[in-house]
Amino acid sequence: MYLDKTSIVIVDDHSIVIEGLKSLLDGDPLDVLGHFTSGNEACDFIERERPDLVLLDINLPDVSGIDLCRKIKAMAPETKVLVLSNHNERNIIMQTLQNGANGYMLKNISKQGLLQGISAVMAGEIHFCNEIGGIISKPTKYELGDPPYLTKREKQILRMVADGETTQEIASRLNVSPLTIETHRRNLHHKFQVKNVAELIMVANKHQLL
Amino acid sequence: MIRNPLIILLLVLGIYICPAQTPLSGSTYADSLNQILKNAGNDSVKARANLLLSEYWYNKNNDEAHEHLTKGNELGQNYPYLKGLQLYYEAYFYYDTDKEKSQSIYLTADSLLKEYQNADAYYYRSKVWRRIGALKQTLDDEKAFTDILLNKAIPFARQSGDSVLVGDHYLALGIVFKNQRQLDKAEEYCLKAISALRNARAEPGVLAKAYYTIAENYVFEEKYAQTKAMLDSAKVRLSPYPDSEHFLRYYAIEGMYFTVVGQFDDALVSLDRGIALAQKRALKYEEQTLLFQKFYVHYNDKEYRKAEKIFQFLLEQKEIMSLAINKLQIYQGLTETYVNLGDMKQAYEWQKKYSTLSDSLHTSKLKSDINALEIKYNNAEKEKRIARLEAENKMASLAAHNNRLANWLLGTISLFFLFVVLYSYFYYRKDKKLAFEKEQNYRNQLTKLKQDQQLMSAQAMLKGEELERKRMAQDLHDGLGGILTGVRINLSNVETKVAKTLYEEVKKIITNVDKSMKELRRIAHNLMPESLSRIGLSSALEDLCKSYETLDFKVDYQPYEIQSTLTETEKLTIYRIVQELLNNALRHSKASLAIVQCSQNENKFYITVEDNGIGFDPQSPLNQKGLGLRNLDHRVQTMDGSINIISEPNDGTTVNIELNVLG
Repeated sequence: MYLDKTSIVIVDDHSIVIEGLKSLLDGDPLDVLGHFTSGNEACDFIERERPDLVLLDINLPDVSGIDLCRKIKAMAPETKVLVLSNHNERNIIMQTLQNGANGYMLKNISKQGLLQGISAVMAGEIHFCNEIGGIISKPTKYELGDPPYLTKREKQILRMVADGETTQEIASRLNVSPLTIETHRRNLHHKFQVKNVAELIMVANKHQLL
Repeated sequence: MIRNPLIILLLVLGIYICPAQTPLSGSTYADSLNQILKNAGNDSVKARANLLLSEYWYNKNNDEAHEHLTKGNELGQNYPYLKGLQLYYEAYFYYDTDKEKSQSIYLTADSLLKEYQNADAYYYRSKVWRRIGALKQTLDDEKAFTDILLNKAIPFARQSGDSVLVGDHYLALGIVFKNQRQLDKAEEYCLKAISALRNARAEPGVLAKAYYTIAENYVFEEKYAQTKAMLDSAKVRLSPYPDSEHFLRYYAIEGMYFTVVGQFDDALVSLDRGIALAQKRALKYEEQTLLFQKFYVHYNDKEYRKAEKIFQFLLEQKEIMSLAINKLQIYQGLTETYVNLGDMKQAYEWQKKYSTLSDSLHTSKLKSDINALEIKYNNAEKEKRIARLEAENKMASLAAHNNRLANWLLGTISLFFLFVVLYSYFYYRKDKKLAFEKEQNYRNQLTKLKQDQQLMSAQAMLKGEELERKRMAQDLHDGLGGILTGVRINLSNVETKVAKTLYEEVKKIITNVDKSMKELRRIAHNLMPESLSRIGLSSALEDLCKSYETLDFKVDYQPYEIQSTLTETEKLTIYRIVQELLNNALRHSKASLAIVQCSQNENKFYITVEDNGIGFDPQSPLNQKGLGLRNLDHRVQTMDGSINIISEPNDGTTVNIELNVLG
C-alpha cells in the first residue's frame, strides 16, 4: 500500500511495549501495519499482509518466538524478521538465527539503534545490537581445538583402558556398574572425536594425558 | 485176745512162703533139663536150658546157678532175642541182694523184648513185670504190685496164651488182697486163678497152692464148710508128692482150720505131720512156726503146761527168735499162759520182758518212724528251702530284670527329655532369630516408610516450590517485566527529544532501567528457566553454564547424547541439580574451572560437576548435608538416583550423580 514506507508488524506479549514501540517507530518511512500479543494471530495477519518486517519477541503466550520465526520465514520468505527480546543466551540467539532471523536486538535498544537495525535489515544485512554481537562472537573452547578438559574419573578410566582393562574389570575396580563405565568410554570417544580405542589412546597420548 | 496174734502169725508166714515156686517134681525137673542140654544140638535150646537151670539152682546152689547162667550167656551170644531172656534170668540173681539193680535189669530186658511180638516174648515180658511188681511188693508198695499185675503182667500173659501164667498172676493178686484182708476180692481172684489153672492142666503144686490159699481166705471169712472143701481139693492134688514143701503150708492151714473149729486133736495131728515133714526136709524155721501154731492149739485147749513147754522150747531156738515180732508173741503167750497157770511171778517176769521188748520195738519203730518222718520233714524242709531259694532267685532275677527295665526306661526318658530340650533350644534359637529378622524387617520397612514419606513430602515441597517459582516468574515477566520494558522503550523515544540539559539525566535513568530489566530477567530466569522448554535441556544447561562464567571462573560444559524425550519434570530437576552444584562451586570452592558433564545412556542420566577448588573434608560434620546438599539429595531421590561426592582438601571436589530417567 505504501510503496515508500517499510511496513512493520509488531509481535510482543506486552501491550505496553507495543505502545512504546509504536510511538517510537511511527512517522517517517515506517508504517506499523499491525501489532499482536499472541503468535497465532500474528501468523494469520503476516501471511495475509506480507509485511516488510516483523519485530518479534521470543516470549509469547502461545508459541515460542523461535519457532514462529521459522514459520514466518516459511510463509513469507521476503519478510524480514528482526528479533527484539530480553534473552541474551547464546543458544537462543543462535537458534533464532538458524530459523532465519535477520537480526537480533535486545529490548534496551535506543530509538536510534532500533531504526538503524531496521534499515540495516531492510538493506539485507544480518544485524545485531552491540551486546548480542559480543555474545555470539565469543568462541567456544572446542572451536579453538584445545585439548578437552577431562574429569578425574575420565582420566582414571582412560589410563585403565590404555592398560588394556575391560569394562567389566574397570567397573568392579571402581565399584560402579558396567553401564556407567561404558558411558564414560563412549563420552571419551565423543570428547576426542575418535571411533575406537586405538585412536583414543593415540589422541590421548598426543595431548599427553597419559 | 488170743485170736488176733494167731492171725498175725499166719499173715507173717504167708508172706514168707510166697516167692517159693519150685515145681513139685523137684530134681526130676533139673534132670530133664540136663537131658536136654546133653542131647540138643541147637545152641539156642542149650542156652535156654542153661538159663532155666540157673533159675532152678538159684538159692539151692548158687555156684551151679552162676555156672549155668554164664553158659547160657555164652551159648546165646549169637541170638539177639535170647539177650532179653538172659537179662531176665540174670536179674533174678540180684533179686534178694540188690533190688534196684535187679529192677533196672528187668526193665532193660522188657525194652529188649518189646521188639518181638511173639508168644514167647509176651510170656517173658509177663514174667519180667511179675518180678518187677514183686520187687515193689517187697518195698511195701502193694498198690504198685497190683497195678503191675493187672495192667502189665496179666495182659502180657493173655497175649502169650499161657493160661498157667495167667492163673499164677491171679493167684498172686488173690494173695495180696488176702493179706490186705480184702477178703471178697481175694476170693474172687483165687477162684479165677483156680479156674484158669485147672483148665490149663497146670502143675498140681500150683493148683494146690491156689486151693489152700483160698482155703485160708475162707477161714478168715469164717466160711468153714468151703474151707474144708478147698483143703480137700488141695490134698488131692498134693497127695502124689508127700515130700513137697506145699504140704508145710497145707498142714499149717489145716491146723488153723481145726483150731478155729475146735477140733484140737485133729489140729495137733495136722501140725505134727507138718513138723515131721519139716524135720525130714531140715527146714528149721518152718518146723518152729508149726510148733508155734501148736502152742495156740494147746492154749485154746487150755493145756497150759503143754503150751508153756512149747514156748520154753521155742525160746531156745535161734531161727524163730531172730524175729522180734515172734519173740514178742512168745513173751505175750508165756505171760498169758502163766496167768492161767496162776504163776503170777513168772507171768509178771514175762510181762515185764514183753513190755520192755514191746517198748523197745515201739521205740525202734517210733525211732524209725521218727527218722522217716524226720527224713520226710528234712526233705520237705529242703524242698521248702529250695523253693524259697528258687523264689528268691526268681525274685532277684525279677528284681534285676525290673532294674534293667527301669534303667532302660529311665535312659529312654532321659534321652527323650534331652531331645525335647535340644529341640526346644534350637527351636527357641531359630524362633528368636526369626523374630529378630522379622523385627529387623519391620524396622527396615518402617525406616523405608519414613523415608518414603519424607521423600514424598520433600517432593511435594519441591513441586510446590517450583509451582510458586513459576507463578512468580510469570508475574514478574508479565507485570513488572512488561512495564519496565515499556518504560525503557518510551525512554528511548524520549531520549531523542529531550533538551541537551536533561539528556544526561535521562541517560542515567535509562541505564538504571536497563539494570533493573537485567536484574528482573535474571531473577525471573532463576525462578523459572523458560529456555528449557524453548531450546531444550542441553542448550539451556549450556546457557546456564555461560551465565555462571566470569573472568576468573570458567565453566566447561560437556553434553553427550542427551535425548529430547525427557519429561519436563526430569529436565527441570536436572537443570536444578546442575544449578545447585554450580552455585556451590562458585560460592565455596574458589575454583578457576568447573567441568559440567551431562550424558545419557539409555535410561541412565549421569551428571558430573568437578571443580579445581580448595575442596573439603566430606567426613567433617560441618560439611554434612547443608541446606543445599539436602535439597540436592531430595532432587536426586525424586529421580531414584544416587549421589557420590569425592573431595579432598586442596584437590577440588567431584560430584557424581546417577539418575534414572524414563527416556
